[in-house]
Amino acid sequence: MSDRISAGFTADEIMTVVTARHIADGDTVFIGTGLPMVAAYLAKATHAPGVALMFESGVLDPRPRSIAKAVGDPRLISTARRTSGMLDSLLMLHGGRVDLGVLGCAQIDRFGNVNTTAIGSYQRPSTRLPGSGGANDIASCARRHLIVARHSRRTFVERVDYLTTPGHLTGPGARERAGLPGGGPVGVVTDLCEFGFDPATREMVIATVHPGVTVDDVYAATGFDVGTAPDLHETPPPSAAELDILRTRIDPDGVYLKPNRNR
Amino acid sequence: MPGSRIPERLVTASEAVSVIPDGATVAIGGHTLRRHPMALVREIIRQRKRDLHLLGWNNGIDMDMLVGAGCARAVETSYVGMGPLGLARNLRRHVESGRVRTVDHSETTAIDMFRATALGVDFLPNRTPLGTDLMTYNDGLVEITSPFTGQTYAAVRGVEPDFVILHAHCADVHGNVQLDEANWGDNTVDPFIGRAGKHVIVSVEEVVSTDHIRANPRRTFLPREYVTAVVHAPFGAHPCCCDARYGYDQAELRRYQEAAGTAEGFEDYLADRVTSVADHWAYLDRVGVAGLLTAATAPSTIQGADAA
Repeated sequence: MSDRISAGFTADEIMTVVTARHIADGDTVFIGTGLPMVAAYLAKATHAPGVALMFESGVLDPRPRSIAKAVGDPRLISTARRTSGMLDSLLMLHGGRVDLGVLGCAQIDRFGNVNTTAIGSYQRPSTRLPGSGGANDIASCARRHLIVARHSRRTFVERVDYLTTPGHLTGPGARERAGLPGGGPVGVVTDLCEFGFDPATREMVIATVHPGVTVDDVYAATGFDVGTAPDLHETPPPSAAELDILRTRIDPDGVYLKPNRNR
Repeated sequence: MPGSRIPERLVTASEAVSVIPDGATVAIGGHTLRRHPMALVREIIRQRKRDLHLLGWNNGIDMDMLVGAGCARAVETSYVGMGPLGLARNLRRHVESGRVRTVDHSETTAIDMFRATALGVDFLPNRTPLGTDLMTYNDGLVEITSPFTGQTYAAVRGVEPDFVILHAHCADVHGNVQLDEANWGDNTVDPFIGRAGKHVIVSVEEVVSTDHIRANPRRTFLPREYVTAVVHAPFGAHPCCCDARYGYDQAELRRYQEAAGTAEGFEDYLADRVTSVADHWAYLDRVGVAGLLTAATAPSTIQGADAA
């Protein structure tokens, strides 16, 4: 990590930049606060000026002058294209109007299935977590979704203890057979690398490794066998322009991107 | 109106809660750390209700406090957490030791269990939990096939809670309940929870005239047809925020979260803030005017406190 900070950016910054690159111009993106929101603002300020941010609280496509500090922040309501409520924002998901959702996780398996409910047995867990919240809804119904996680063997596990939020379930065709409407996860962004999903097996594969990280580093931090994409390459680092926008325009006070929040 | 036979439903929190029997199902409105009916929650703890089955769609300090106080046998919702302050620590302890059972939902299946009953049907179809362990461990989610297209759905069983407790901005004595602004933030879910209950208790910041209600009909989110009891409880969501009226009491929330880290710490908190306090008015005295005004006016430093 220290070498990457000396290389000019932090783990949070590269995770934000890689997340932002998944956002296409014109996308409607369902996000919470934190890193995903910062990534969406960055995309809007760079390659995707037409991205519409959708918050669970019902705010659609705000044009805030400064970054919101919470989903219900009045800054988000000014100049929004629509304000509604939770039910309405969730119905936009159900109706298939959301292009991309961005989620976190406590455990994740090779198919991108996520656990945020319980570690250990369900009714007598060693750690009870908060549950789904809106995560299951997002991963089930958004056209595609992305997962952002810090990399460790505790998080990247052979089998999630409880499947809260569907990834590709058991592999090709499983989501369709189950009846899930959304397309499933398209990537997993970590502080070491970015995973894609093999189109044939729907299993996670290493797509890019961040500068200063080796494939062996990724293997060592991943609790299951993982392959590599045919075009595996180094993650293009954040550009000077991207870092400048993050640091001076989007999050100048370090509200979301902690300067030294290392693994 | 002279001679009107419209019943008046204004009661004290103590009277409203006294009719909830042990073992009842109780649904709670609000969202994570926002507009939960905390004055009613504290009164339930004061009256030592036991064995409750708690229902909600997105919960935080409300359920954590009831679980910590030993009032609940089960919690059924999509989320119990303290938002950016971390995990719900009482819930963790009680679930990990097997004292409380959990029934997990997605946000929309949690809403649909109320929405079904509000529509007068016993289930609604949903797709979000298909293929996940939400289906495995929740008897209220059952796979069904559409008679029209053959599409697979999860049937979400409707629930009719024995009691619903909500907090809102104002109501008249007859139980016409309003929020200051329609369609703002989480306002759109509580109306469905309210429409599903056998008995609905609503605490409000202010009691207003029916003329006031009639002057702003768009703000009425539950008319008296649904409401059993109205309780006057200013700052009744404290230490949660109450939409545009007041913010989070950040110091109190952090104090709670710290205390909830151990069973002993939580007992001390309960004794100080709930069980040794006669009622909500005495609670307000205990928190103090400065504390309440601070909560009402302080800029937020809890980042992302509205996020699920």
